[in-house]
Amino acid sequence: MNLERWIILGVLILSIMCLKLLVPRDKVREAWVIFLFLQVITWPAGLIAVEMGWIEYPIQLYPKANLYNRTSFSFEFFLFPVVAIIFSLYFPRKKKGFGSLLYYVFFAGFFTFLEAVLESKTKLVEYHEWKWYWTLVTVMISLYINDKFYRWFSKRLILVDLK
Amino acid sequence: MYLLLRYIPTESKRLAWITFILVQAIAWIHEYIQLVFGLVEFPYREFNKATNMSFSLHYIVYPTIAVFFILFYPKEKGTRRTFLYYLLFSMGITTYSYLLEKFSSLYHYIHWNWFFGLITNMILLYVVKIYIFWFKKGLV
Repeated sequence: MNLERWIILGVLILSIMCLKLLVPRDKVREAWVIFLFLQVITWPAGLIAVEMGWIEYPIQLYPKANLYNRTSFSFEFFLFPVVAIIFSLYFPRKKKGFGSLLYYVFFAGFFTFLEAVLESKTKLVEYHEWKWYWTLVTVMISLYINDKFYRWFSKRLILVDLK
Repeated sequence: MYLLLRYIPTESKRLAWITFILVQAIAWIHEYIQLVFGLVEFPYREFNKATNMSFSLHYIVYPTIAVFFILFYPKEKGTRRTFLYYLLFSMGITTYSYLLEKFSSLYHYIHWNWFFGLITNMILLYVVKIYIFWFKKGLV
């Protein structure tokens, strides 16, 4: 197994640990809503980006994955949703304006930085037309839409006794 | 899509949403596995270069059907009625995909047939039902 696959595996394990540590037991349903809804956004968005030839993922976790689907499975269906869960659950709701913008920039910036490093050092991501600030902006927009949906949804979510 | 907007009562909107997005994820994985094992193929698809999977069938059509499955789920009926209900829905979905395979190039069966489809759809619907009824406990 090459370095790239070890990186994906490491990231996946790290995200699972984050989920275990950072999602409280009584917020499980909230986490599900955020997790599933983000895929609604990333799935078509990722497909469009690949279809247009903007971006490419030469190496994936499963060696033959690119024969069936050339968007990044681990990123769109796991890593990003996990990031979104942490983003929305720990969002500083009391802060307005600049404070929440800073929170957005911090999350999206961290993500963009990670992707840019992977782009230049590994074969996990290849940018063609894509630029790092496209990632920054699209991640911020996705997080915003996702957070809106989550807040609308959670108005009717209640606490249930967990055994 | 139109059916969803028109017929979902406002008070079940959130339930419909969670069903819709859960089934998207499940349908996607199910489709992926089918492809990896070379059971089916989708000769004509929306994103020709990006993926070998069909997009709208599993992004919109399947979840829409599942929303109605949950919406009209018979809660206080006997085992036989419930089983019939499952059978009816799975047969509907499977026949729909069978007709697509027969009359269009959207779907192509390689090592797959109507009967396999029926069984997997019943299992999928059962998984969806278990999850949604668990989730519903937290919804008002």
